[in-house]
Amino acid sequence: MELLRRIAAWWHARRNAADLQAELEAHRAHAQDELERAGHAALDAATESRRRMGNVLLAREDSRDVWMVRWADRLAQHARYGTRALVREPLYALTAILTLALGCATTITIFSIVDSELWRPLPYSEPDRLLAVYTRAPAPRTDVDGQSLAEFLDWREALPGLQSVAVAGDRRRRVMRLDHAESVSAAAVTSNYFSTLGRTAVAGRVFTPADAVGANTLVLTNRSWTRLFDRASSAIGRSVLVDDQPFVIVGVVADDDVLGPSPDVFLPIDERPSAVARSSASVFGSIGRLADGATAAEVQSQLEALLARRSAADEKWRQHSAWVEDLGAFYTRLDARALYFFLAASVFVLVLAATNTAGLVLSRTLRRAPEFSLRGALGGGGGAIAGQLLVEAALLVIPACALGVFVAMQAVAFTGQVAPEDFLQRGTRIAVDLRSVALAGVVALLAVAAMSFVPLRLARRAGRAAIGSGARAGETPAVGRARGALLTTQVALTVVLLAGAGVFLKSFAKMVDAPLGFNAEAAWSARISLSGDRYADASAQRAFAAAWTERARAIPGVETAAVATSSPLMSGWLAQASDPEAPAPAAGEPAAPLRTIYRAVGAGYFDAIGTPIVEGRALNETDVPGAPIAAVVNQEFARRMFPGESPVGRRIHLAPFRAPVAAEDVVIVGVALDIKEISVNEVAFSDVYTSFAQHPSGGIELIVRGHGDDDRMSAALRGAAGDIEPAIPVTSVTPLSRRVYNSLQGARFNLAIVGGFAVAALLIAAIGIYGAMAFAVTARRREFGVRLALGAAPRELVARSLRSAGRIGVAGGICGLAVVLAGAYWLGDALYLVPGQHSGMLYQTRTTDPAALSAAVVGVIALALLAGLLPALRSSRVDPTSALRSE
Amino acid sequence: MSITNTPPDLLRGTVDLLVLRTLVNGPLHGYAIAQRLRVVSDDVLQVGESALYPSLQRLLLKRWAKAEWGTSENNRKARFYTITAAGRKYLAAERIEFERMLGAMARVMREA
Repeated sequence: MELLRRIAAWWHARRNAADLQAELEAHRAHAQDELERAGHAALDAATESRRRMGNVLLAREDSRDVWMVRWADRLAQHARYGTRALVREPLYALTAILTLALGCATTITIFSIVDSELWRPLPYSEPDRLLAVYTRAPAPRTDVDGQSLAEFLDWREALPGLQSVAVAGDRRRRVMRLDHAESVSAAAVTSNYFSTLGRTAVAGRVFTPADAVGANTLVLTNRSWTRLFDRASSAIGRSVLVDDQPFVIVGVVADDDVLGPSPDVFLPIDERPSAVARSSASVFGSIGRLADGATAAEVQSQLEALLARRSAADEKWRQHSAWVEDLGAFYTRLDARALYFFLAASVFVLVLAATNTAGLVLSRTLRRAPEFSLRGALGGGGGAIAGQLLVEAALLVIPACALGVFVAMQAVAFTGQVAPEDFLQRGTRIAVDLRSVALAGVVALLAVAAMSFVPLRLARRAGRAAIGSGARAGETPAVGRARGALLTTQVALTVVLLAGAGVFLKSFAKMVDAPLGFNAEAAWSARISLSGDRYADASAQRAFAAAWTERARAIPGVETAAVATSSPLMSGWLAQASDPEAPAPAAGEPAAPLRTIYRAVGAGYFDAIGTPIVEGRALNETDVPGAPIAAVVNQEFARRMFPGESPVGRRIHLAPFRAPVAAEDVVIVGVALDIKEISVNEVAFSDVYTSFAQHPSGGIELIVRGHGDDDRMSAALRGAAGDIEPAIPVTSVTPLSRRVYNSLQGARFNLAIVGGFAVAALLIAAIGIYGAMAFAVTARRREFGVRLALGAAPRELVARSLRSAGRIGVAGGICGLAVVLAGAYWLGDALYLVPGQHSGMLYQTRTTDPAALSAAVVGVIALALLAGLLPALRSSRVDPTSALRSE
Repeated sequence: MSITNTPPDLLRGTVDLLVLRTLVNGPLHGYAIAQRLRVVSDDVLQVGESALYPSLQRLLLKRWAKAEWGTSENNRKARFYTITAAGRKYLAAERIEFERMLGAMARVMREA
């Protein structure tokens, strides 16, 4: 209550003050009346009453203080004074605020990204009870085991520590029939998938156990609901054909890319025993929700017990291991190095900005040193001055932080759009939240404290000296040292950020020039997924592929066309290859098969994609069903499987997994050049190619080489497919060059971030050096005047100023270089591609790349000289007489 | 005992109490309160305006008194203070406490 009255009083401050003044005047008037009654003359009485009143001002202030919390009053006073002072120096205020805002914005942006990618809990109910539960094959394969649906459903009984365990099964493109055919990616999930995660429907409902018994129901995502149905509520309950089977849309769930890219639709897995027994699907890994009171360790031992039972019954489960871990941790295990690296770089930018602002504040505080000293000498408390500086720093930092948060929000939204898919796993849920803003607040507090107290100490000392000598405050040795340290820090930080950008630039240039193993120019890839019963058998797939290839070859401008099950930069099926003639491994030692990427390609594929055959022959029209199964391998495969020998004519045993093909022996007929399978920056993969006619599949990619523009080619290829099969749409037609461009997206993004930081650093450092040199020149105007009057050549003065700028550049350059080298040592191989450990951010470029490092050092020295040149020139134009008179 | 400047806490509370007591018999304006205190205490208590007005503001803040502008006996504009019900309650409570304290001090002065 009392607090409310205090606030109300603050609101009516003016009226209350008037009341008080009138009241005190009334008091005096009454005193005068009494004095007059006692016989004083009116005039004397007035004077005497005033004298007796004593310090009216103090009485009034004390009275007002009853209502005011004293510091709040002071604060308002400081804020008014500080704002006025800042408005008088708009350039200073603007520079300081913008610099700080830049630093805040970068840090908050990167922090928000890192936070949502790595640290924030999964956006599900009680995320700490969600577990990833799976088994792995024994070393050296250590793959997550695929298991049949029946095997998976056993887990429900075998793992009582889990309240529920769900799985997302196969994911494939299917055709949804509306008024036209739409290709949608569909994921089959157990009916408890949504309830296990705690996801709810945004419209309609999610799956319930009733959907597990062969109900043809379907759940849309927000995106597909928007894309296909324009968010019409009539879509719920509507029946649609998916691969010619009727499904009823029962609900819509929110978009969620947390556990990998979201499919367009969810279909329920049929969990009835008869359907489970028939199903040939494999499921990988599962999501479990802990039962009340159960622990992950209990689930782990339950899963181990299950594995022990299985391996007793079945040889193939021997030595497999049980894994139970936090679901969030499991899904964020992707490469976090890039994120941490960027976070560190952004902190560098923030420190740079703070250092710069501290330098600006120092100069300004020094300019006001005589004022402070005078106030001190007149009895103004040190507390008041410190308070004033604190408030003034806050006046810079608070708007800077607010601006920083605003810019960060834009930047985060923008990043979510432009960042490559594999970089931001959780792109849809990045947001500047309270945590980020709290971080900005903490940073702001630190900045305020540092920016007010250090300059004050220096200014006090400088000011005392200034009052003593009657001169302006300027470069005392302590100030010089402080300023030198600040500038050297700025330059050093700039070197670090520049060197980083240089290294990434060089790496990017190398990536652009890297040999791909295929020719991406003047070639297109068209993809289609033949789904549904009509394409369930091999001959239908083979016939479609042959017809589509033939029609594509007839398109004007097309030189060659061939089908494949996948093509470069998109990886492919996986298989294990072994040499059946190799001597049997020692007892107990499992033979280590070679893991390969495996694709089936049509005749003429190697011409179409532009991958040379270096030995033997390509796959051709003779490799048809009935003929011995032929294979082409790549050089890497040959090196690994048959070191020092020619592989042509040798037999290998090919055991595909996660591929719709049976294991069998194949004969190698040729060797192809290595290609980039996933990205430019990769260790060469082993590849096996077989003939599409012998290993057909419903997922078909048509590679076309020729001349023409993208739109015409796209229309022609879609038309060709539509003529053969009007019910199934072509999923995409992409120029191969676009695929190469996209594969460099990550590198481009890295370069943009590091480069952006470096540009910001250059800008901030230039402002800092310019500001400091300009101040030094102004402060030493008198000295320059004297020197000029005594006959110094202007050129000498310029040289002197430039020398001090150059000294800062060199000192900062050396310090920065040391930091870079220390950082490179500490980073070790974190940014490089280390096979089997982590992917790389840098391609064929060391973190200590001499060219990048020396360019950075030379760059900052040049920057220092340039920023110092303008003030230096001004120093030589000082008019001696006016300089001397002005003091 | 003359209280002219910001008094220590003990006295500050005492001034409030004394001022409040003068209001019991009816509304008074600032100058009249000062006079009353002086007269009643036989010129011993001279509460200056720099103690009186902050004290009056405190009474307003605590809602122990309320103020109204009016005309004084000298036909001048003056702000009259009236004790509130809360003020009376507070005064009664503090008065007992005050007398207990005074008694204790007297005993100490006498016997210790």
